[in-house]
Amino acid sequence: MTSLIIVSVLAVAVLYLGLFKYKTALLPVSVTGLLAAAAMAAMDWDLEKMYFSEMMLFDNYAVAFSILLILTTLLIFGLSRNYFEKISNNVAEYYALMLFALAGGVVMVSFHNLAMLFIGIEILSISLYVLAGIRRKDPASNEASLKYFLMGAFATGFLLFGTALIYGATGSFNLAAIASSGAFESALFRAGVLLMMVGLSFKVSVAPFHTWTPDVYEGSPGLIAMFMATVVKTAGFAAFLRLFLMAFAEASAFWAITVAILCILTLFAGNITAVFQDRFKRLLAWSSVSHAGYLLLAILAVGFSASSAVLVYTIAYSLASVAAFGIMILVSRARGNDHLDSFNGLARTNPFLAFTLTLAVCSLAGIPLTAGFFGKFYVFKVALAQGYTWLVVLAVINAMIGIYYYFKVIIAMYMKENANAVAIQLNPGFRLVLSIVVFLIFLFGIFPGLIANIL
Amino acid sequence: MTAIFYILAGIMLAAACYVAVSRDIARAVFCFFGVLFAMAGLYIFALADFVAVTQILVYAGGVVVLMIFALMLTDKQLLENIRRGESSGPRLFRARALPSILLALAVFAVLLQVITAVDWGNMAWRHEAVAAGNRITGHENMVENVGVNLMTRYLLPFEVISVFLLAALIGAAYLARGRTNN
Repeated sequence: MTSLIIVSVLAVAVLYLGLFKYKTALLPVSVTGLLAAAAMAAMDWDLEKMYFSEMMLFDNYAVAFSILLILTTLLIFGLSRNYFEKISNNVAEYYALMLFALAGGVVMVSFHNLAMLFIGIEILSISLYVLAGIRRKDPASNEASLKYFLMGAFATGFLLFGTALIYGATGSFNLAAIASSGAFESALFRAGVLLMMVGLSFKVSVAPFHTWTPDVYEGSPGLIAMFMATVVKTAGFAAFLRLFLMAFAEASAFWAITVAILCILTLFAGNITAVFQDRFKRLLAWSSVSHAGYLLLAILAVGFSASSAVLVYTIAYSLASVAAFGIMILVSRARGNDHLDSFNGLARTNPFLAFTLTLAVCSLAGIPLTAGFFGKFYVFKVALAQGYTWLVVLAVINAMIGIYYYFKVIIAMYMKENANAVAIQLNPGFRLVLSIVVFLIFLFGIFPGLIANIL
Repeated sequence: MTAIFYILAGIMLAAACYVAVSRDIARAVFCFFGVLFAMAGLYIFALADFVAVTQILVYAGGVVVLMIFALMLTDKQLLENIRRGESSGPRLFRARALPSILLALAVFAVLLQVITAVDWGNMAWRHEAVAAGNRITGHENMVENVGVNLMTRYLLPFEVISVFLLAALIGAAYLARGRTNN
């Protein structure tokens, strides 16, 4: 709770800094504030505190995901020095909106009441609608913003409709009260679960509700796309799992088959379309769709340490995405576009960047010795423990398709030459963040026990 | 009483259908006004008079006026172009609208199934509420009820919404700021 207050107040403080033109103070203040917020969240560990007539519950699940969201935002802020300045003179708004989005994310991972879930999702979404369109002179950015807004508003309608039906069936918004209401058999409850699932699927880009993802990722500025792929996806899945774990777990016989079908659709839609992309940003967008499919596998296995599997997966995915999107930003800035050919010869000009990107895509593909391998390992493990062998077989086939398209960029970097390529200059922020990410991907890839036993 | 309900519901459905199929944005907006007004009437039937008044103030009074303003400030030539493009095909349904029609039918099927399958008078939580005397008879001051609940049980959502509104405000101010000094 204290961390939520700190993040919200920090956003307002950043706005005041912008008002009084202290531009150099923006980043240090934001970073200090986020560190304080993460520390305050860690203080709530094992306390299981309920706040304001059971509106929010800061259990270990909420604390772990809040810290993950805050630290990921911190990494993104580390890359953002001199980034937003190129887009506009009014930098404070970006930091403020990202912090507001983070506040929404913290609400989404710690809600204990459907009203809070709704408000959290809306705070996150409305900040992102604006952030997607912050390059106002760029038609692609405007299109991304409008598309995201229309699709998001539509999804919100489904979510609210579902919430209303659940309230009608159980007489409460409280997760514990819903879980103990015993109304799981009623048609009202089932329709509510279905509609809420549709609404949440839109937000985390699960097929067939994923159509906005590639266009929005492509049109948004690189750092915002990175934010969407990491913080928003983590918060969305944490909220999805929390809702289904704490409120709908008893009715899992009803919704499991629907989630399984969504999972297969998402895996194949994401991976097969990603094979045909020749722009790295669109490739990452489609791969983020496919990662939503792997995460759905864990949701199927509600109760069997699913939250731990989702935590490991989202940590690995966020780390790798920060590196992949960060290098995509550097390369497209230096070489004009993010076409896969732009990565030719990167190993010769920038060995560090090439190595980091290789490690990141290996982690996304799930190669051993990287964090991504254990992400997939735990997700598959919990799904197998629930008896979804056929689903895991399909997921493994998809992981192999993934290796094919992720390796296209490695081949471009190491085996193709680009005669007139010049070395890309790194600023200290990028160097620091990428080094941290490389270290953590290796650390969690070799000692997965560090994160696997948190929850 | 029942007759009034059906009249209101009928007005709402007819207006909503017109909004969905109309090719003229101005007429659609005015019919949408009718939908929202009839909706406010239905809220009164649900003994939610505060929501009904809010519905008229915010939606009928604010949102529709905003839509009409947006319509008036939009380039007339642009609207003409859209209408010309629209009127070249068949009038009512066209292939492009097929996915939306299917989606609407799917949602309708879900709702229809809910309406027919649920035993409305016999839900557990309703019996509990009636037994505990926790129900509305129509003589209470609903505004007071809403106010007390907002300031007690729903205090946190009420406060967190201010973060939401602030984010929306800043976003709107950023997107609407003059383009020359950027």
